[in-house]
Amino acid sequence: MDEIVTGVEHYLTENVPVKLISQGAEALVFETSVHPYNPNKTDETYIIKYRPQKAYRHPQIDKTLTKHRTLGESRCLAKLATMSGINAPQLIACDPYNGYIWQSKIGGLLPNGEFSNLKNYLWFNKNDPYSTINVENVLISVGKQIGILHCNQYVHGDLTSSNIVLEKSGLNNWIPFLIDFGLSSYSTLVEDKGVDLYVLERAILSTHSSFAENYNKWLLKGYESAYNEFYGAKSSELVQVLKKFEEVRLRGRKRSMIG
Amino acid sequence: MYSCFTHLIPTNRTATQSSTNKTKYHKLSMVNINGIKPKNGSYYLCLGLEGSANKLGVGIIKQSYNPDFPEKEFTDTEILSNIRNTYISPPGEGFMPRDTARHHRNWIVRLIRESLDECGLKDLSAVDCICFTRGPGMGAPLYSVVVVARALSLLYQVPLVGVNHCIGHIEMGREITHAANPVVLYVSGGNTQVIAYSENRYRIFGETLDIAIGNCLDRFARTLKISNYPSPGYNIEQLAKKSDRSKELVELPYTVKGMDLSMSGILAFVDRLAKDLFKGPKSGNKKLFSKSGEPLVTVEDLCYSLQEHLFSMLVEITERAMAHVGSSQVLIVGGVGCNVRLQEMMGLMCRDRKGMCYSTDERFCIDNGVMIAQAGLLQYRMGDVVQDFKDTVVTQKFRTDEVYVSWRD
Amino acid sequence: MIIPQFPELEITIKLFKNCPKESFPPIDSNFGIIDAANIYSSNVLYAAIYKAFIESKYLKMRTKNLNSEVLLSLYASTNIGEAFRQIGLNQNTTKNIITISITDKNSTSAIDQNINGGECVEFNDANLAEVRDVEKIKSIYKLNQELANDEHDLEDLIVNSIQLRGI
Repeated sequence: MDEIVTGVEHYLTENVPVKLISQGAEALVFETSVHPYNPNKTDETYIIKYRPQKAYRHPQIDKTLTKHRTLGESRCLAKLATMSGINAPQLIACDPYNGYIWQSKIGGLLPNGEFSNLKNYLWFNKNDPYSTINVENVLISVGKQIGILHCNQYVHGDLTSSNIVLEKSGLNNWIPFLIDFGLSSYSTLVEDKGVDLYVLERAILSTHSSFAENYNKWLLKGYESAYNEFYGAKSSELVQVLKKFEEVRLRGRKRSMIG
Repeated sequence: MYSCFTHLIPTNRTATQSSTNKTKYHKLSMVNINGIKPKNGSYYLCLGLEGSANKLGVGIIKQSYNPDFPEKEFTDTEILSNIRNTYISPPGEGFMPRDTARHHRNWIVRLIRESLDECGLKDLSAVDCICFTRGPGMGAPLYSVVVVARALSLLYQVPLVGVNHCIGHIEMGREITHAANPVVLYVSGGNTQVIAYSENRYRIFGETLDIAIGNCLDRFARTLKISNYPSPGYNIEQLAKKSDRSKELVELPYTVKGMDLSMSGILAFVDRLAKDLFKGPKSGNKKLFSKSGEPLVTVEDLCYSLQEHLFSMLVEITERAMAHVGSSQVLIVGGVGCNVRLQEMMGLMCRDRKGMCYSTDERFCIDNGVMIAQAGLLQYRMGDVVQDFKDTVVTQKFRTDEVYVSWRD
Repeated sequence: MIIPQFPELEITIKLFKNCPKESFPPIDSNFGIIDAANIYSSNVLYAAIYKAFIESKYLKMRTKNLNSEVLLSLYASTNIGEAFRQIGLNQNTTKNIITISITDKNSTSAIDQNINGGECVEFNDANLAEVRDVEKIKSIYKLNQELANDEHDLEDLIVNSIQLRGI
């Protein structure tokens, strides 16, 4: 771990002081106030995402994956910038040869001092009955983001409540941003969209068990509204995705047959 | 179906609260598992019967009774006997439910007798409870074991406890390794799950979207006609060790979907390669044969490559779950968990996260009776016993998160 | 100026307006020459410089020096000749030129990148906005109309295109 951070500091040089803010599964996330190339931008914070070499996996697999994901994520962020209605970080720079991506910083702190991702937000609000309407609105807009993404034939590949970050807007309003596109891909297959929805549903069930049923209902409500806006009401596109979603879910139940 | 008895005896809680010791304060939140007195007044004895797949396991354990010191995190289980007999099918074949059930019926009385002899017990009248696997698993083998459990229960007037197979693995792993609150990777013939404890349930954070890891390895072994003795996975592991590491890895698909993964595509891919390899140069596969027809890849290389890909995916989803729930411990359980390469990879991942990786050897990784006894005795000590024989009906489907875990807080 | 990650390289950028055609520097000058009409904003040029440094350090140098690497990075494809014709000087070049030189920090020999007769103004967004040709820029980066309406978005799209070029 410490050697990895030293390596990052060496790569960035002393001109780019960084602070490690999280250790995700595949990437270390740093924060810096230095723009990678524009000397005039001095008042913002940037995120540097670094995918270190993983000692556990075969170097050949490691190299392929790191390059594939750094590039995939950069390409995806670039593509998302051309879609209307999608909230995602802005790509600033990328170095696929070493596994670095620079992007704009999303999110801040919740009233309890935790980072404003959806996971912490839901945990923070779970015991407050007065916040239900706000939570519902946030989850509907999260679902809508995912819907827009799917309508544009992109799947996220790693939807969890940690990978959705909220930006504060007004007193009680939070705008969701999708982050972490390392497993994303362009796909016109309903199967991939169904799996995307299933992965999120499961993540909500395991992480936010007590209220998962409502949460998933609201997410789906937002998802459907995005399809209705994009394809018109009761579109066959939506019907197909929901059918596939149910099919993937059933596969999940059948799977638990053998011990 | 699962009743939950959470015994929180106020006097005990007050006793610990008065202490200023910090570690004691932490233990304050432990659940008291001494609400039910053992038969002999000083320790519990428990028989566990497992037969959900092709292994028949019988185990007898002893746990101490600590009414005056209830806030212990682990149970100090003493294993008095742990016997297993595996039904081995011929190479190229999987085990069929009917044959497996017949094997279990043929062996179970002998194994129980042997087990009792090892502990110096005349019969089962001294044990506090008899635990059996309620599921998940193959119907016929499960059924052949529960019939024996019911008969013994009636014969010796001993209560029955139905146990979820996966919970058995987790509780045994925790007891052996003393990993307090790990992310659990459960990898076996029929299951591939990443589990973490939260609010009285073992919740599934990630799992396979199609086939299980053990199933994937077993089926590949069948294609290669590798022996099923002692187990197909073990033989693949041994073959993989013989692969020439200086060669390039045979590239296979890599299919992680968030905290879930898919393996059927990889199996189909590597199966096709294996079949082409057997066909020889006339298969026309340029990846496997040089222009002059020399093989470039061996069976050993395929085994090695398959393991490297599958295990990388397993470690990756485990790491994703750790990052998501903020844990630094991993516990590997299930039959595939005794693969040394998987343990090594998981250990490297944990090292880079400044965490710990726990695993057990084949005695506890592979299905066994002791693990059923361990989880079942915890249930028994929380008052969760079968009240009516209709509650002993075994079930093929039984998800890990269906069980209310009353013995943890 | 420098790129923080590459402190050993000193970058000098100059913007000249209304240069007489006869004073255009030869293509083989020891500094880079860019038709200022092609540069949407200073951020775009900086992004291209960063990209050129990363590529030449961690992958390979495709042209003869870093000045020309920057020109290549500014272009949306890897065709070197075309990049020079489109981004550098050609028949249709306007009278406004950007010169760029990248030198080793410790190098003592200063490069004269001035253009006789041209009016040297500060390299900044306000001055660039007066001389850039937005329609031409959109065609270089293959950005269609409906995407590129908002001023800020267009810059983001160009920067993205530069970062992802050729990889």
